[in-house]
Amino acid sequence: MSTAIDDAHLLKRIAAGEEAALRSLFGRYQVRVFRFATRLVRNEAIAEELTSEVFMEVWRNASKFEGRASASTWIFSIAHNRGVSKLRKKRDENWDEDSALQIADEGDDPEVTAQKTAKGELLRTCIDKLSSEHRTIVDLAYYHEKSVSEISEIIGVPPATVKTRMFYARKRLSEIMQHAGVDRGWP
Amino acid sequence: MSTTHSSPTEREEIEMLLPWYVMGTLDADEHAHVAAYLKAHPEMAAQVALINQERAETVATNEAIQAPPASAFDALSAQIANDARAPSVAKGLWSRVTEFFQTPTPRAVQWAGAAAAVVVLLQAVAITSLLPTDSPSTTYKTASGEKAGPAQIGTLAMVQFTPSATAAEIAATLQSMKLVIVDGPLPGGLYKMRIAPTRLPETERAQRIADMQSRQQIFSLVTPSGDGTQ
Repeated sequence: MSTAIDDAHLLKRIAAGEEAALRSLFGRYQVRVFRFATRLVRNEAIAEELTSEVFMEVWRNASKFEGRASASTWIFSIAHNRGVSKLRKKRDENWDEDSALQIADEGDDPEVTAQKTAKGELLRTCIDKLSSEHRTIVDLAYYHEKSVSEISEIIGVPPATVKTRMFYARKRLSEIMQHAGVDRGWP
Repeated sequence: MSTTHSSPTEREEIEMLLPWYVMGTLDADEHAHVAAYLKAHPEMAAQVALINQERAETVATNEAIQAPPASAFDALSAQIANDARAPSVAKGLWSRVTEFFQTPTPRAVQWAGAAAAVVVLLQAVAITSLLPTDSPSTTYKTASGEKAGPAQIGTLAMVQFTPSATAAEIAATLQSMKLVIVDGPLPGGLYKMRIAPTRLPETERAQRIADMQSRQQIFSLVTPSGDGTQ
């Protein structure tokens, strides 16, 4: 709660043109925004550029922050909107289902791959093979610890869609793991 | 312990909430609902375990991403400085203003009329009270149609008001920011405005203009005056 109050106070100071306040907010959120951006656009150079754009937008539009959502949610929604725009421009949504299943080396069958790779590392690889939409939900829920309503605000879909999207992301993850030779026992 | 038979719909509803239950980010009612279901269905513990694995690997994946360098804010700071300076160096922008000035659109004509109403209101609000008391010849009576020699001192800018701004809002902003209209309305709905009683250094002028530009509900255009300052 105190962080939320501090963030809102920083945004007021940013709106008044105080660059030191932006530096403070940047210090708080830069790493997480960068990681979110990297996972979204899958390119660290673009993610770095995107992160800078996010805080530039915060600088320019701090006066428009109304406080209905938390500052964190607002910042991540800017990052998501800009990231999705960049993805559309790059036409990066080319990870089709067949590609998603090609985790193993060509010479390995799934069983060998599963033996070679620690299960956790395999799970990490499979999470990374989810679609951008699914990966975003997973990252926001598990790493950025956002609630259903916060994710709804960030990505601009209804809360019910957030829940079903996560459900299908997890289901898809199990399918990818199954193809890699690991039965998770769900769904 | 016998388990209560649950419909797939209820189970799926719980499964949809389970990731946020594990993360502790459900509201109190939903948390209690899921907790009660899990207590009645101990076989769901396996799913909770799966979610904890997913969470652990998602965190590991994200934390493996190296943080950007500390100098990243310096680059942002430089961008902000460039952003503030942009109006004063962008001759393109001044050209755009000049073109608008020379070819007034019907909207500009409408604004010329509305702007006159603003000026009348400002005149009625004792304009001299907005001026610094120790500036020479600081009083003037009208900002419309007179050659105001003393009004050329200080730092000047050309502005255009946002159409949705009311006269009262404009007047309040001018008063709070100590801005003074020294000429206008000009063709295109432009006004020449004194934004500081003295000539400001470049960085301060840029900051002053950026402050005005940030008030988009009042100003739709703010640019340094092209005819220089005294």
